[in-house]
Amino acid sequence: MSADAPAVEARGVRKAYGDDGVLDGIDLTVHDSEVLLLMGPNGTGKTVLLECLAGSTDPTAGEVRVFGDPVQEDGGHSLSLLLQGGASVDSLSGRETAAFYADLHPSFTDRWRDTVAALGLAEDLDKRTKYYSEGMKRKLELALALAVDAPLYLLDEPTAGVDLSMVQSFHRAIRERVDDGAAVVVTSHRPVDAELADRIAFVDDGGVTAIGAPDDLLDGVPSVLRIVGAGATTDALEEYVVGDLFYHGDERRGFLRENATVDDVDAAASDATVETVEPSYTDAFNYYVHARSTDE
Amino acid sequence: MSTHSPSGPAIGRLYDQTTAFATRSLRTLRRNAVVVFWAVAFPALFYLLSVYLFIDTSAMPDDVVPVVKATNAISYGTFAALFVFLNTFSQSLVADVEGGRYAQFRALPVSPSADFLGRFGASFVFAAAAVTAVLAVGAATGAAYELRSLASIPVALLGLLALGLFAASLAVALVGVVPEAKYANLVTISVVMLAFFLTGYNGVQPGMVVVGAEFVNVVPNALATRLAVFHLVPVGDWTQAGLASPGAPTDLGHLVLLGAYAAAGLALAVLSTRHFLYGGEVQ
Repeated sequence: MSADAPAVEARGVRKAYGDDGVLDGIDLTVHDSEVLLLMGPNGTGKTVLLECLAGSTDPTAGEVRVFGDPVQEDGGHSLSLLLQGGASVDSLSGRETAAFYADLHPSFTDRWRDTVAALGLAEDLDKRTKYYSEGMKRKLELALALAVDAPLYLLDEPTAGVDLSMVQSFHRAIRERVDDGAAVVVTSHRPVDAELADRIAFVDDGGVTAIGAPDDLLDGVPSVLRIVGAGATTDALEEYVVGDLFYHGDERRGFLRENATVDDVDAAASDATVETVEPSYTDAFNYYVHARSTDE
Repeated sequence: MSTHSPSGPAIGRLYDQTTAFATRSLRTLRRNAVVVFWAVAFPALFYLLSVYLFIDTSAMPDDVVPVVKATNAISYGTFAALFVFLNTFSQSLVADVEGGRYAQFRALPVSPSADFLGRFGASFVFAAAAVTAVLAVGAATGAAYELRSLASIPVALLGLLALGLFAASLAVALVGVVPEAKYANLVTISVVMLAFFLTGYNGVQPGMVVVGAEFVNVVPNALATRLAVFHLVPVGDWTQAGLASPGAPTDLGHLVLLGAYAAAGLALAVLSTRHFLYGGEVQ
């Protein structure tokens, strides 16, 4: 382990199962004391990428180093991996599951007790996990992953199935590890997790389509159109936007083309109301994952 | 913040990890009603059906009936053990493979040997309990047991250990090589049934084997069963009891063969666990 080396350095990581390519030449660098959020739609290889970074799946090509050493040589000593649904066995209780993992990793600490208390799971530890909701399972998995005293945490959709009121508590628990100097890579497709990130990498079709600080990525999004009400068909409006319009509740949103104006869209929108709004993380997700590639 | 204890030397960590897998396996096994039925209740039921419906004991001399019952109890005890070591063992692996837990284990500093030894330890305890249950049902229905010597219990346990390591190594290899792990369970059930019938009920009825019945003193399930019968049942005449030919496996060579099965099984199991479960991406 080298003190100067980045926490994670992935170069040209490719992964294929037979003829099916999942990752197509991913380059990533993650530094100490930062949270890198991997955002992308379902089925785009985020979990496989995380497994490659953790050394639990071998890339078809490319290289992964953690703290300067090939990840396979590290043997799991420098990192802690959370895989969604990967920790609990239905017939064991939460406490029994924790006891099992406590004996597997030499750096497992009793921090998990504080985390389950903070996440409101302490009263349910003696229930078998088959009676846990998805959110309760995520709480247990996060507590066990963060209990390992490691300089690198790789967390696969830790907030999936967690209600919004609890997401901040998850973020706080993860932030505590970062404040202690750890690097964290988190996958998600929930825009609310962008609040946790120091940098975001958007992933689609096995590659990274954009990476940067959240504010820089939001700044890179073209003017966001918000179209409310019935009026013109989506087809009639799409010549003025980058890619497609996206439905968001009862409104349509899209990204204004460079050579178009809001007035053009307003004229084409008939009775619908057209305005520009500040981009949200959902807009950034749609732009970097879906729309931008159609504009190139 | 205290770090958990297994940060000590490698041997201490191996012990902790082995214990962790063993404890977890025992808990999941005994809480699985289907496994308990097939591994414990079904062989006992199979024994009862045999001695009350399939074997006509009324035509046998009174002193032979308890021996026949004891011999059958040991045969079905081996059946129960084989079921645990092959099918139950593979089920526990398949559950972890399909639950994605091996992707998790591969990212941990886990020793594959600890994984296998822990699971095997749990299976051995479970199999011993299953065998004891069948023998107890046998005793309750009139089976007669008698220790041949002080070495009888250790020899019978060696047979169970050798059978277990050999069968569990097959289970790991099957989970690794069968294209979809869940189908390994079907294969293991088939192997249990074939091993039972093709060896003349685990070697206690070699007369069922048309040609070359000597192999019942060689293959692990029949050899372990016949050694257990020799050491635990007061059989006066092996021919009259239907156990010959061949004769009882009493040579030192038979014990050496059992030891070889145990050693080969352990080596294959550890290598298979390392290669298929920790070195690859079994689907």
